[in-house]
Amino acid sequence: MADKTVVIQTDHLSKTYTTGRKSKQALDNLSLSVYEGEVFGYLGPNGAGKTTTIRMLLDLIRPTLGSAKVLGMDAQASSLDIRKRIGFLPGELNLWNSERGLNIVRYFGRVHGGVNMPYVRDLASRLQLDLSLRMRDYSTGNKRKLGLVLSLMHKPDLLILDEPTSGLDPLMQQTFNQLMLEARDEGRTVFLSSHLLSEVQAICGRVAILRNGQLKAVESVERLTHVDFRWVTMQFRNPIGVMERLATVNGVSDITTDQDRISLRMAGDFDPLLRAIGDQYVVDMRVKEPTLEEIFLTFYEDSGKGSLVNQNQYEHAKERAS
Amino acid sequence: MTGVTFFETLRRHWRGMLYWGIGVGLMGILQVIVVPDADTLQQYAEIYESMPGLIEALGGGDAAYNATPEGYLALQYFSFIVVIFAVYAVIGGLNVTANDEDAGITNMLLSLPLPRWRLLAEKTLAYALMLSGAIMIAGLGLCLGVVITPAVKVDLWKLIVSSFNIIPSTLLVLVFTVFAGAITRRKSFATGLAAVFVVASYFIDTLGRAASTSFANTVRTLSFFKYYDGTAVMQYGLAWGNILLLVAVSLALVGAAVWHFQRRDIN
Repeated sequence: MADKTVVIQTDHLSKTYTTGRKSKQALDNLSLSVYEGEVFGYLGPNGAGKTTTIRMLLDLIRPTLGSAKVLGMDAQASSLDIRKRIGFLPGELNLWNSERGLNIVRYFGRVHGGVNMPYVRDLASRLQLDLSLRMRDYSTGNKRKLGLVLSLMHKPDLLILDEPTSGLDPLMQQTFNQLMLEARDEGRTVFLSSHLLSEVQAICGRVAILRNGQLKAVESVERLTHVDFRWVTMQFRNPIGVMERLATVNGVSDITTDQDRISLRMAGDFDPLLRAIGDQYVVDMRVKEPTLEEIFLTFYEDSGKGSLVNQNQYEHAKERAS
Repeated sequence: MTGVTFFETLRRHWRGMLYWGIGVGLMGILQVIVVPDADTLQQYAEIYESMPGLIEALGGGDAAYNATPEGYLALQYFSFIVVIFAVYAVIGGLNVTANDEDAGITNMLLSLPLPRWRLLAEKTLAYALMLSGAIMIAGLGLCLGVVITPAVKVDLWKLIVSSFNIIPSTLLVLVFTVFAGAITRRKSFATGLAAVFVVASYFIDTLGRAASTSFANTVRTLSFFKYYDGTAVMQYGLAWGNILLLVAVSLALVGAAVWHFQRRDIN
């Protein structure tokens, strides 16, 4: 990435919200670089500071400390020049309820200096969006689609998308992924936030993981998905005594049993596990790579277990894996 | 792009201007049609003269003038209509930033290449124009009432001038509401501030007119109603000094609103 142009750069970016005597650190010393032509996932649970970061990049709110550069320009001083070259989709698209989609598209287009209507129609067609409806008549998913059209229609150099796929059905998520990959192939940059890691796994090259306003990790998706553990589920003809032997194997943890099935988390090489099974008859054996959710939650574990909600998410992720 | 938001605001809200103008204009026509005959007007004037100062002050205090059709319209229409248009001005003022920000629309607007100052200035200008339009449409309604009621002899030019005189005062209300929306970030608070501004101004002016103390008169200078004085304008014509003062304060408030809006976080 060293030879690539930096599109987003934050330097100790911090934001504290103050209400009366109460103050909340929403973002703490975020230093991050996003490069030209990449699809970058910005991940974290609700309240992690993702939207706060995006709002500071757009100069909607000002940092308490630190600074941000977007497209090589200061996010505050050159905000207007930056906004000419970006497309933004907020987490929740609110626009005038009585207005038709087409009128909103035309207005936004005029503010951008002109609207490419054939391209707008193409986008609307691919997203199966009827632009003649009024805002109040759009479902949550259709509002999302309109937001995508508004953010993409001027072919911006940088797309900043806050939870872009929430409310989209699986088919539309595929179309969305396709649009993002096309943008990337054209050399444009996509910065998208999500709390559903599986949604960004297919399109992101790198992801940043944020928690409680702090950056926990920045990694390539490829590397994250090759972390050294897997979920193993085995079915035995007669599992008596196997569980005890498996529990002693180095790298094995989280063993659970369900009748003749044993599930476990396996780190490291497989050979010790296979030796521990010994001459027991294995009816079935399945190995599953951890999902990004699990990797994500592993980061949480490493930083002190987190909240009860995160623990629940972790248990839920394990259940799904098994 | 210059003017895009101005014309978009007009496109989206011109019907509101028309409805307000026609609605208030119809009220004006009714007022003209029910202008009482000379004897009844004289009786009204005598009743006013016998009332306590506070009540008399509501009508402008010149009983002889109030006994004319012009005076009657000044009292029954122009003294109160400014309050009705102040409501329209508050609604318009809230639409400039407070409503959109409260609904989460401003985030999306300010992600476009649209400077904050331009968003506020163009929308304020559009609402000022629509406010003026509604007032003048209502004024034309009043004129229409006079034209279709031959028994009522009123100089149409005076009605136009008096209608025009409503604009600077309501413009101040509009801009004050814009200012409130720009500094508070909360629609409810901006609405409250604007309502207090209008109601307090009205009472300060009324009390100041009724009271004979110099203190009450001094306080009255803080009320925009003092610089409106619909009855006096009908009688003596426009007070350009008052108009200039109201416009100057309005411009200063726009400047202050822009200054604040440029610097603060957007909800």
